[in-house]
Amino acid sequence: MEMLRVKLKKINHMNKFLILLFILLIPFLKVSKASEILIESEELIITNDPLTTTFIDNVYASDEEIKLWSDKILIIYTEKGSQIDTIKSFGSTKLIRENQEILSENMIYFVIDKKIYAKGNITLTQDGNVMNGNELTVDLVKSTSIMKSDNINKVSVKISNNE
Amino acid sequence: MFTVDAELVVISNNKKILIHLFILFLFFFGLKSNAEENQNTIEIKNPIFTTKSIDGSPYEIKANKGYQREGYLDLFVIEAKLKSNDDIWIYLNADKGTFNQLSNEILLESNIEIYTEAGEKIFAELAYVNTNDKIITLKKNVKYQDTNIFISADESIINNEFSNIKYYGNVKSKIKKNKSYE
Repeated sequence: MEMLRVKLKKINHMNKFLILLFILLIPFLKVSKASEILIESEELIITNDPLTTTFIDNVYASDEEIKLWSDKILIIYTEKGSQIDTIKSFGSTKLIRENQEILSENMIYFVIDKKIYAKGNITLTQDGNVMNGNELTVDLVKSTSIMKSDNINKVSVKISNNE
Repeated sequence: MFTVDAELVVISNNKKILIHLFILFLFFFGLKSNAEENQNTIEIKNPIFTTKSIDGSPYEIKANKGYQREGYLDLFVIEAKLKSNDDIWIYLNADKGTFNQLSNEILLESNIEIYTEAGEKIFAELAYVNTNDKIITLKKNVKYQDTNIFISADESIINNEFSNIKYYGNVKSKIKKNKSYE
C-alpha cells in the first residue's frame, strides 16, 4: 500500500514537471512573430535581380510605428533578401507617428534601425508647434528628433502657447 | 375592277411564296453551317501537348477534355507547365482555356492558379499566356502569395519568368518585415 502511494506521488511529480516544461516551451513554439507593413498604391513593380519592390502613385503605407503617404515608395531588402531594410519615399511625402506629423520631399525609413531620415523642405508639426528645416532625423526608439538646416536658411520654429 | 383585285391577290400570294422561300433558305443554310461546324469540331479526351517554344524551351499542356476546331483547341480542366530559362518549371492550372496551336498562345479562364517550384503562387480569373516570349497577363481578382508577401490587384503582367512582375489598379499588399518560422 505504502509502495503504491510512493509510486503515485512520483507519477504526480512527473506530471507536474512535464506540465511546467510544456509551459516553459510555449514561447519557443513561435520563434518570431513577424510584424507586417501594409501598403496600397495604383501600381507595383517587383524585380528579382536585384530584389526591389516599388509602389507608384497614391501610395499609403502603415505599420505599428508610422503612417506614410507618398507619390512613390521603394522597398529595399537586406542582402539575403529575408528582411526589409529600408523604405525610401520620393516626391511629396507625409508621415504621421505618435504626436508628430512630418512633411518632406524625400524620406527614408530605416525599418531595422527604427530611424527616419528626411531631406528637403521639411515641416515638422508636434503638439501644435511647427518647425521648418532641411534635414530631419527621428529616432523611434529613443523618441528624439533632430532638425538641421543649410547655411542660407536656418531652422525656424513656431511655438504654440495654447495650454 | 375585278381584274385589279385578282392581280393584287396574285401579287400578295407571290410575296408570301417569296417570304416562305426566304425562311426555308435561312433554315437550311443554318442547318448546313451547323453541320459543317459539328463536322469540323473533334472531341479529344485527356489531350496532352508536349512541344517547344520559339527559344526551344519545353512546355506541356494537359487537360481532361478538348475540342479541336481549326487551329484552336478548347480545353477543360487544364494543367500546363512552362520551363523557364533558369530551368525552373512554371505550373499553370485553370478550369478552361483555349490553346492557339499556330501562335502558341493560351487563354485561360476561371480559377487560374500559377505557381513555381520556388513557392510563389498567383491566382486570377483570366490569363493570357504567350509561351514564346513567356509573358503572362493576368486579369480580374489577381492575388499573389509567397512566404513574405501577399498582393491583390486588378491586373498583373509577369515578365521574364517571374523575375519582373507588375501589378496595376487598386494594389494592396501585406509585407512581412522579416521571415517567420511558425
